Amino acid sequence: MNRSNSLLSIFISFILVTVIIGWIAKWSIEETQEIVKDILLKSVMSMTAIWLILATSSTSILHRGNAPILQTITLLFLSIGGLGLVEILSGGLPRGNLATITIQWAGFAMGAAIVLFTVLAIATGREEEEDPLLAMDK
Amino acid sequence: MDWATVAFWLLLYAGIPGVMAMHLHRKETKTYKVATPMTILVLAGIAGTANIIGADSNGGPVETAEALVHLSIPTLTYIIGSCLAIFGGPSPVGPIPKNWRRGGTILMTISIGWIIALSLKPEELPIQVAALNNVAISSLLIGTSIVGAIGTTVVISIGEKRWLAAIATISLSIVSIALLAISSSENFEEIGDSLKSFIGTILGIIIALWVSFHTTVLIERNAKLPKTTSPSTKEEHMIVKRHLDANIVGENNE
Repeated sequence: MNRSNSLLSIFISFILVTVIIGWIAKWSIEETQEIVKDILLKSVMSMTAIWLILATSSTSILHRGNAPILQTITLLFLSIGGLGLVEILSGGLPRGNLATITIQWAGFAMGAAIVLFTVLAIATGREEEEDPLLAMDK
Repeated sequence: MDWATVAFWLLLYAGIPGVMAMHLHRKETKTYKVATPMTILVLAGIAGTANIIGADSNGGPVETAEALVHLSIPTLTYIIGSCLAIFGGPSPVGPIPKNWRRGGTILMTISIGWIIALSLKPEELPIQVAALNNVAISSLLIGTSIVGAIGTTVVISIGEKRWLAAIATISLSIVSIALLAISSSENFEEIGDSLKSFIGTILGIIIALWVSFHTTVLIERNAKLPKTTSPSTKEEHMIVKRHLDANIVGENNE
């Protein structure tokens, strides 16, 4: 399978599972605007967290001239801007929203880890190798 | 939000990455020397502010930690089990008892059972149900089902006939979707919210990394290169040439 076909199949499988879970969660066409608004809010929250994490974790390059300092300050401003956007979109950050999204991020990461380790366990632990010293007796 | 809540989340999302980066500095730097005290301060700050906030019916630090601990019990058991399943038997470092592989499979099965119980009958488990259990378990199942489906596509597209791996990932995906469907009568709102978060997070990661990368390119493109060394002199050229002649060409310079 070539690269574009692989990407297309990944996208189709993602959409398929999303539609199934959306149906389980009783999403309806009438709620589309509300759902898209919520998705946008969550994506802005993710962006804010990523920019904040990138800015604060770049302390090890700050001594390498003006560019890294400027870069860190830009990322900090972007994260502050993101926080402002969250406030505007949600009309004030509700209490418990940060707790919920932190748990959800951890849940997604753990779910992905379960799948990854399953593939590793099967792909690497499946092959039966023979001890060369024992094989010499045969 | 009160000051303690703001301080807690700021310490978690800005303090922890900051001190982790400080530990990556070279050992002789001042930053590395203050990394451990700073880490202790940040952790103490997180604990202190969480203690000030206390229990919060809307979901605060205590409820977050509780849900994460409940979620990490089966996940860590599964990961440990799969590590045993990977490394049991013949290995590059010598034979490791094959019972380890069997033990690993048992641990993986136990943790799958634990996740099923956590999603369908959490009150039957020997530990108290976490306040945000529905949020935690629905996000875990959504993560497993979507990543499992994508993983199946990736495994098949690699084309090395790893059918067993493809069957395992699609089974994980189908079981997770089935668990979500069974538990949807009680917590369909949490499932919908987790799905929105999953889509939003993927979008957010892509946009944030794209913006960060382009910002970095824009800033670095016009930046002056740091002056680290002066250009090599004629005398240094002669020394290098003499060494090359002596060691590679074989001339005697004495």
